[in-house]
Amino acid sequence: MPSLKTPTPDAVERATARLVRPQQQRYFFERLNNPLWIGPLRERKWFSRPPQTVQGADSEFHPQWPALHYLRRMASLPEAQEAVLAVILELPKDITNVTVQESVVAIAVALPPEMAVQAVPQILAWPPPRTASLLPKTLGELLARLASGGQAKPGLKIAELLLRLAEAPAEERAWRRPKPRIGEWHLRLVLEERYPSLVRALPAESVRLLRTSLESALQATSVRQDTLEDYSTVWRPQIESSRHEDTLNLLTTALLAALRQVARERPDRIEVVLADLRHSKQSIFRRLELTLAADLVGSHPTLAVALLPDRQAFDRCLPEYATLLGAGFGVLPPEGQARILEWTAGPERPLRHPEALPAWRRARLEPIAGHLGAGLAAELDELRRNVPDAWIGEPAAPTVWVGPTSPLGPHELKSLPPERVSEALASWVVPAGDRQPSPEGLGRVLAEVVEEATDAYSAVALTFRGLDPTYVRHFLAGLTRGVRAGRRLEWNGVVGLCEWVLEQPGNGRTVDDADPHWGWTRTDIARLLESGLTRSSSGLGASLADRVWALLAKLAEDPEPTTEYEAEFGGSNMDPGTLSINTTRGEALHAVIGFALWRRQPLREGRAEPVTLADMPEVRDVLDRHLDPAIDPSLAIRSVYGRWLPWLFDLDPAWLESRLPTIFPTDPDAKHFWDAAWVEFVIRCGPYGKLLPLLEPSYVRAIQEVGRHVDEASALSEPARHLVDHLVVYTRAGHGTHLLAQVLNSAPRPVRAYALRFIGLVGEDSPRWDEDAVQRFADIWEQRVARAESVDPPERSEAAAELASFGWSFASGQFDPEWTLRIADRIVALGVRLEADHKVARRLVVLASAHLERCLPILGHLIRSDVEGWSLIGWDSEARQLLSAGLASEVATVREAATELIHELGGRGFFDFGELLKGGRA
Amino acid sequence: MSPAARSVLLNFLSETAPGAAQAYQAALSIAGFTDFPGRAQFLAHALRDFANRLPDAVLGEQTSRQDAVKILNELKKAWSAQNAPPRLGAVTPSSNSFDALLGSILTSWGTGQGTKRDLVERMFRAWLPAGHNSPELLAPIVESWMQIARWAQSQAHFDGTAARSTPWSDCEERLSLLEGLLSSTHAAFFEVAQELDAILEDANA
Repeated sequence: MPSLKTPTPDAVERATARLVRPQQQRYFFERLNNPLWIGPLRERKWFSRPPQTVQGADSEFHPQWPALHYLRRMASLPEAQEAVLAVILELPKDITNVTVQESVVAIAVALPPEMAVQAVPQILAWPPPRTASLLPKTLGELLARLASGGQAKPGLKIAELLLRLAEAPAEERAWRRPKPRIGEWHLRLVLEERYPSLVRALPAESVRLLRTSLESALQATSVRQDTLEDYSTVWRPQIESSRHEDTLNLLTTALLAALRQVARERPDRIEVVLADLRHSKQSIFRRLELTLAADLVGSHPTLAVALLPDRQAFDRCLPEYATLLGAGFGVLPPEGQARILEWTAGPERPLRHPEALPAWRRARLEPIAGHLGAGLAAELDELRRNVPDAWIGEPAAPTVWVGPTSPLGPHELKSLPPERVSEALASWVVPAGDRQPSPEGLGRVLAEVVEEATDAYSAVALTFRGLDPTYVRHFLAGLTRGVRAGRRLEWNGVVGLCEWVLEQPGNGRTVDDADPHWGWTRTDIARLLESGLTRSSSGLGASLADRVWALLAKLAEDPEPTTEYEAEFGGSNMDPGTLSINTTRGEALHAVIGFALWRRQPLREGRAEPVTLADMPEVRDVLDRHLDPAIDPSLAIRSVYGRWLPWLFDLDPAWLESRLPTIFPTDPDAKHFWDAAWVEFVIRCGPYGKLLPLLEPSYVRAIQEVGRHVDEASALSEPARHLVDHLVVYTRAGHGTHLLAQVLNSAPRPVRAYALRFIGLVGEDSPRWDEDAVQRFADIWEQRVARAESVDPPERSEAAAELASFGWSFASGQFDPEWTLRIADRIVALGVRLEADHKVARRLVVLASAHLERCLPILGHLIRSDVEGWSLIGWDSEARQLLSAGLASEVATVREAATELIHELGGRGFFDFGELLKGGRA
Repeated sequence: MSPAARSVLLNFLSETAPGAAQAYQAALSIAGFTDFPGRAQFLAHALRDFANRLPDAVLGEQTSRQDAVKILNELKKAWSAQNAPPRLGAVTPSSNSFDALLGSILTSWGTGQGTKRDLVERMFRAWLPAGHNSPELLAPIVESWMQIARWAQSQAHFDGTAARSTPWSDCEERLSLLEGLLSSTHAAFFEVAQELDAILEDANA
């Protein structure tokens, strides 16, 4: 290394005088490479006061300390390390700023372990961080560095810090989820990448720390401290691996890895380590011991000899025990083997389901199959013939129930010809016992298979008559999915199957997921018909019209949803629209309208006059009947009319006009009916110009109530957003401008801001607007800006806040550039930062070719109003283009403006922009 | 500092603290004169005034000046009220009211010292962009300012006990440091960076 100069006091003073602003400090300390400056800077108090955490109203800010970053780089230079350590040891003890903490730890990592160790007491004394940061990761590095550098004991202290649990909120819950202070993501990182160094250095102590940490975590899961039940077979069904990375599983994985590492690297310590493991009594620790014993049968057979002759463990036969049984049976003394063979006859306590004994026996004989005498071997062969493999996968182990399972997979079912599938389903006997394959599980597989081959399966639909409703329901669900994916059906048989279903009485069964009354199956029929009627690709032919209508007429009178049903499942649980597609009558009403639209096509042929509901009186009667609240008070049904409003108008405008007062009643007592239909209409249907005159009273009512849909977080509800969407689109088309004006004059600010934003969004997504549309929206903006300008300053910022939305219109490119820039100037003058800054910057680049001198001030405002300081990252390239153009301008004031902005960017830490001043161009 | 940069600084001060700008202008005038006896003390005097007055002027506040005469009068009044002997030091007063007054005076004096430092820190913070001004990062800057102020105070007057001669180069150096500290708050970023580059080039060589 070339000899470096010790700085003169004068040089340090001169540098200090130029380091007033934090970004000047950053610029300097990122580039200072001379370690001889550490001492003089220390004397000048550059390392004496770490920046403190800044407490905001609902957040914390942890400022960077540029001088410490210099020290961090110097720490890797041997000649600087003494000086760096001296500075670190002088730091205040109560640092809460996590960026400073992280840098200090990183410095310790860079120092030789014997020096780093001196900083450990300081690190351990810090208050626990309350903010996510890189600190845990760096602490993990320090842990490994100390452990592998002959300073394992202090490394263990760091490990204790990292493994500490967060204070759990006092919840009265049966199961609480423990969390580490450092978060589970960092815990995994530390345990996987850093902890092995500690295990290598301190096998017994490091395993003990993991054991006690896991024990503490287990205790934290329960409000009951006296129980040894750890439910580990639930949260850790397989000891070798886990799909979940929660604290319990991470610690278990780490403990198993540590035990195996000790066995591999320090076999002389394994007995000590296992003796310590036995201090913890919960099941998970025994399972770990069994796993390790199975690993070590060759080198430590005594472990298997001690663990296998355990009747309780044998009867429970957890997977780890079964594995050890297979691996260690051979090392047992003859009397031990004999005892276990005796136990294979049956459990000590009789099984709850005696018919499960063959599976129980097979699960316990399989691991020791190679050690069986002729008699037991023959018995096992017999058991193998009678007990499917799948049934002994998890012998007797209570596991998490993850849903119904099927005795057949899709491939097995697909291997059967469709016409034989119903026969196979009918012949399958449901096995007894918990968590066994079920009709529901098999039904789900059936639906999957049917969906992919709807033509073949629909052709044999009638063969499914007579089956359990669960299978029929899934069969129909599979057909529906296929139809929705654009596949054709052979409808004749399908309709026949549906007719058969509707003749079935309810059987009242409520076992597992079985359809108790064919009601769920009826819903699926309605769903299938609705899908088929509204998709021409489904192949549903007009010849079946009468039979289809007969089905629908029945389904439309289904009692579900009853008033009680809606009271239980509707309200805040499920909106009426969702309820309508999950109930038989609701789904049937959707299908009834679908039927009318489907019927219209053939009826049109050869006619000059339009087809209306008068041509389908049966449909009209059903629609009218369900609009009578005395007959059908369901909100779910009312929502169906809102959902199909434009289609009903298209079908029969006169009928709809006459029924609108019923669909959207003005009576305050019937407001719930209005809500049900309106919300579904406004959310599901796009704006429909022809309907606007008829629906204007409802739009006005919705506007008056829009404030009701703005929640406390100012996030707009779906109906409020869609209402605004409708009105903006109408305005663009030249209708309903007064309705949008009404929103802007009376709605709460979030609604107004959204409306103004949506103007730009619509502009961005649509082809060039006609001049009138542009003018209509330009007028709106002019009015909004003038309104904000007319408000006196104390309230002006509130009035102007909505104008931030102009960014979207600015970026849309729909408006005249001159006008756009003028409005932007006025909004910027009100101190409002334009939204969609990246889009604004992109548009500025386009406008700059003709209006550079107008664009730079707007760019400047985007830069200066960026409080967080990082938004520029999204439009760095656009800023460079604009500034380069500014520097190259022939107009001196433009050049000066560009130069000033470049300095501004430098002051905000974007040092690369300085290159532009040196003649570089972006 | 170049004449152009001084002009920029003067404009900046004229806008932000007109009263203190005059003191700066005075310092520049003295520095611009050809040598004359006592020139260094005059410049130190001007720097002292400037360094002490600027924070008040920028922040629009007045520090509570510690009026020594007023303090002594208060003490004397309290002392007399005790019927104390005429010579100070002969008896230690034990009255609570006297102790309380003395305590509050000493506290006030200490606060006054702290306030100066705080004012300097607040002055610099006032010039920095919002959200980027952790006070701790200004600690070396404030320290530097206070050192210059203390130096100027010590050099501003003959104390009558010994003849002193302040090297002119020391004066120029302090003036330059003050100017540097001030101009760094508002100077174009990459111009300061250029100066830092020069320092870095030397430091890293």
